[in-house]
Amino acid sequence: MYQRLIKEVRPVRWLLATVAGYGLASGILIVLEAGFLAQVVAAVYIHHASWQTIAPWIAILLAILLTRSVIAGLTETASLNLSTGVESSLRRRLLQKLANTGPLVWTQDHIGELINTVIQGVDNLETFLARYLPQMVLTAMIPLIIGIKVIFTDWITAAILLVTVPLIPFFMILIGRQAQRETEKRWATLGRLGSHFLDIVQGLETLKIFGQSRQQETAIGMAAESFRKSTMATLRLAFLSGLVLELLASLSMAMVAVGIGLRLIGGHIGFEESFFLLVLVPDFYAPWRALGAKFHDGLNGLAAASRIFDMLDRPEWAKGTGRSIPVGDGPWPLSFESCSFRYRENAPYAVKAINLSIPPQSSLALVGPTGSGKTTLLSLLLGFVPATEGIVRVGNIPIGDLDRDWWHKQLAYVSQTPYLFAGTILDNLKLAEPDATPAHIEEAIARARFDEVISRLPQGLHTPIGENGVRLSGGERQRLALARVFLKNSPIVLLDEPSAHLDEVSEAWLTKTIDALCQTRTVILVAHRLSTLHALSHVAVLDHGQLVDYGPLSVLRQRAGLFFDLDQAWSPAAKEALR
Amino acid sequence: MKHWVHRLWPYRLGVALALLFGIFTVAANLGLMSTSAYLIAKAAQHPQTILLLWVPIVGVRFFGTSRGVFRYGDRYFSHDVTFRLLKNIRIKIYQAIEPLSPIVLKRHLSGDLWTRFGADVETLQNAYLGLVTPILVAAGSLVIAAGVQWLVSPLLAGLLLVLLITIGVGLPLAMDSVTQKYAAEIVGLRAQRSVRWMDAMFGLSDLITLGAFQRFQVAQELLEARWVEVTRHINRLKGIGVGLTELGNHAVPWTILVAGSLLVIRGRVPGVLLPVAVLLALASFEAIRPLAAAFQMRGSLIAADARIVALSQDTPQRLAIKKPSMPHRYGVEFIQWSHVWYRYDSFEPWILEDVSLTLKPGEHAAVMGESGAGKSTLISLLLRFADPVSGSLAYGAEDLLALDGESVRQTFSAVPQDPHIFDTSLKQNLLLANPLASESTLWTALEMVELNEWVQSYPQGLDVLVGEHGQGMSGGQRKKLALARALIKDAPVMLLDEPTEGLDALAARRIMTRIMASLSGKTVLWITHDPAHLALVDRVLTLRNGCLTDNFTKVQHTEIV
Repeated sequence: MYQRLIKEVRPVRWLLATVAGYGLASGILIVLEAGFLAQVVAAVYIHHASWQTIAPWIAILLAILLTRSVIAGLTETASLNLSTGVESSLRRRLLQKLANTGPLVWTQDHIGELINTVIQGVDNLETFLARYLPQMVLTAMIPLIIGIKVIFTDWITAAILLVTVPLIPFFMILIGRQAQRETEKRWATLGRLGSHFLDIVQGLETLKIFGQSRQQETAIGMAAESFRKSTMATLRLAFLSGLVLELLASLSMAMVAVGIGLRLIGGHIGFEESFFLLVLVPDFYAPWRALGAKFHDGLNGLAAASRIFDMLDRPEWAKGTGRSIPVGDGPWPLSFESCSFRYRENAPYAVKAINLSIPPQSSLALVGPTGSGKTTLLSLLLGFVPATEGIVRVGNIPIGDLDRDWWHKQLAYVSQTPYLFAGTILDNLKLAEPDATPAHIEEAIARARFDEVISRLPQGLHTPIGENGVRLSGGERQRLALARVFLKNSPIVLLDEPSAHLDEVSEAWLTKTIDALCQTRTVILVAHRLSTLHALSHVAVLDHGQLVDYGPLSVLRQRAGLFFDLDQAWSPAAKEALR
Repeated sequence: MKHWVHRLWPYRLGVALALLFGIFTVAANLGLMSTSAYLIAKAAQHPQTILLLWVPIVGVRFFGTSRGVFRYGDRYFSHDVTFRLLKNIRIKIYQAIEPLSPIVLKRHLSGDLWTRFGADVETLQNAYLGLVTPILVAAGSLVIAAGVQWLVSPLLAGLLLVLLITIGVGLPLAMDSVTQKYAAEIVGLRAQRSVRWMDAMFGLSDLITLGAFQRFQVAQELLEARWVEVTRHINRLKGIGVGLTELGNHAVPWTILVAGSLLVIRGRVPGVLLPVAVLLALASFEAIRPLAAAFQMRGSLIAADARIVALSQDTPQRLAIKKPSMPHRYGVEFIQWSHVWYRYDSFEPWILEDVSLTLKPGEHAAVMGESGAGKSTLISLLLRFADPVSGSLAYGAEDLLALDGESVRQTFSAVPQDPHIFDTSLKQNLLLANPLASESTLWTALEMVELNEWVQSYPQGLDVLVGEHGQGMSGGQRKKLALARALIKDAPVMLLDEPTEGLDALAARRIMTRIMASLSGKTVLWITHDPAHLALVDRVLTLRNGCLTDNFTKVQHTEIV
């Protein structure tokens, strides 16, 4: 992961270089500062020096500590800025990734988790880069510089430090691994405990319907209590790492002090050197401690990095030559030539061997039970995914060879759950056509019968919608999405269950609207409710990913088969038969 | 702070132990450094016998060994208290939220607000470790550091205390107020960015097919550029903060060195104590180091606390008033809405406008209308999740608005529009409706909704895990499970809010025919927008733009269509 970070994220190199420079400078300054400190103390205590003697040294000390502060501040700003840059560029790359993959790559994911990766994960990475990584460099450099100086000052003290040095990383790794496993487990259970709580709060309506909401208080308490017991049992062990590290650092300090003290009595070492060592030893261990304290930032950062790279590694949609445009103004004939698609290798086919041609200015309904492959067929036509086998053609050009941006300009698409963006209603309409004139907008709104909705809103077109604005109902969203279709005025229209949230009055109107659309454009519609169909010329019936029937509506209505069963599902005769 | 004392009081023993060990940890280091310094200072006088050094040697050894143990105790007890507190805080928050109307809750906790709620709960439970302990431990350690320095010289002790408080408390607070201006903008930018990313992820297919993705990217670039600009300002300030802290960190021993040297030179303090004073000052910075992070936490803690308190206070007043329970359990009775008006808030459009409706006992009625036309509100009001702005609701002779919601709901079973499947076993999900239901009852209900074969395909059977971390269920399966659950609660009235959404026509027909037959004799209110379903009910109502515009029987309806 480290190599990948350094390889992928170029500024990390600069970060490492900056921090290494800082480490070198501050290591040297630490040694210098300790030296002058010891010199002053020794002069005053042992040699009874006057103020005039020590004043220059005190001034030098002041200069050293000012320099240290300035360098520390500059390094902090530099490393924060570098990680801010990394963060920003990663988010840019992730957004570009969305454009390069299309929506279907992400359907198997929990969208909330992906957003969390982008927002929280990138933040965690910043902490990792700005805090953990620099600390690792400092831990490698500062003890080294101090150690070298100590060797030349007093080899016995150096020996004590040298004995503990390999022990610290050893214990850090040994116990740290164990602790890491335990901590990971602990965070996992803490996460589960958190989601248990959120689960209950989210299901409060359901709990209340069944009179169970007040009982949940005990359940929450019990879950938290059993969590505490199990966690404390593991933490008892995990905290040993802290104990050992602390023990090593403070015991070696004690050994150094006692050792020096005894040699000082015998006159084998001077007071100044002794005091110098005493000041320096805690600085030798400080970086290790700081690293231990940032252990979690390290874990979180690495986890975040792996999630971000996982997003960046997603396959991008197959690119053909990507430049072709069919002749003429469209609509063009569309055709599926033995098209099959599956989401993964070894997964069952979502659609299999579909042969279907759609002449221009015609209309086609896709009908079939849930999961029969209707929406997948639309996705193939939209170019969201390439066909696993077979070819989708627009005019006579395979869809993979089309200029994708051009192709999407020729399409108007209303998904099953049209998404409304944070902003005003007007913003949402203008997404389809940023340069639309007010007259155009008014016309589109009227055609989609969205004007009745607008008239009820005091702020009209400028009403904010979404998270902090007025909430539109499913039916109202559907109409807003249809208004976008009218605004876009493209030759091919794809509608995924447009009547899902409408009542029968609106549905009758929708049927007429689709009828009007079919005069000049190609309309392909996925239909759940068969009552919307009579405006359409042809019906394709899908079942388990296969095309089981195809023909004009009037013919299918008479012919025994899946369509007939679906069509007759609610007829009085069928109801009687069931009884 | 008073708030916190109150919350921590039940755990005072654990808190006291944690604090004690926390302070001892810092004190051990202070002790180690000062005895070490005293040891070598004494040794430098070349005493006749080593026995004179016995006390400092023992001190050095004791502090050297004990610090690790103290640290262990500190971490152990503070985590223990945190987890105990976690339980307490969760229960408290739940108690505050439980009486809220689900309607209010849904409006407050949709989308990213939901994740923020989760984060707020986490922040509150981390507050003890992050905020309360560092402050109290710092206070205790400061007293000890100053106390030891007092033995050297009261003047130096006073100087040390003033310096440490200035750097430990003054500096973080000053930095806080300087960064405030930028911090507020960053919070705004982050929120905006969050919303934009939700737009990008959830609206990806719309953005691409509308040809709007590039425009979206450009807008995002602008936002990102502004964020980088503001963050760089903050980074500079943070750099200054770190520089000043570093300066303070070293200025403490430097000042003590200067003052101490002067005192020694003037003969006011014995020279042997100078090394002690200097090393003590060096070590005492540890006491105030955690304060900066603690103060940073304060802001987010206050914000989280305020948000959760605000949420729990958002219950409409009338719902919060304690009301008498329904006197006894009723059988099948008349249900009446009279002149009901409802809207979420005074500045929002009406959802129900003067709606009156009477359902006869045992009647099966369908309510048609676009989703969001107000159909679901009819049910929510009956379930006492909200009070109408005006009008009344009655069940038989009882005025429902005068009764406690919990007791009213015993009369109803329901499939809400968006039923929640809990992250537990299928069985537990079903037993919610009736904890005493027998296994055969559960299977009968599962058969009615045609979920039995799906359940049997798992070796765990009824114990199969469902919900977020269990077997993925499709939208249709979730609705089926919710239907089965509602059937298990044997109540005189059944309220169904689009229960067949996501089911194909054939399955919907089979299941609903079976269910409506089994509910004969009970009153049913079935919300749907599919006219095909009307074959199964006695009566059809249509709700359009908040008004019950039509109210006719099935026969008339068929004629119109």
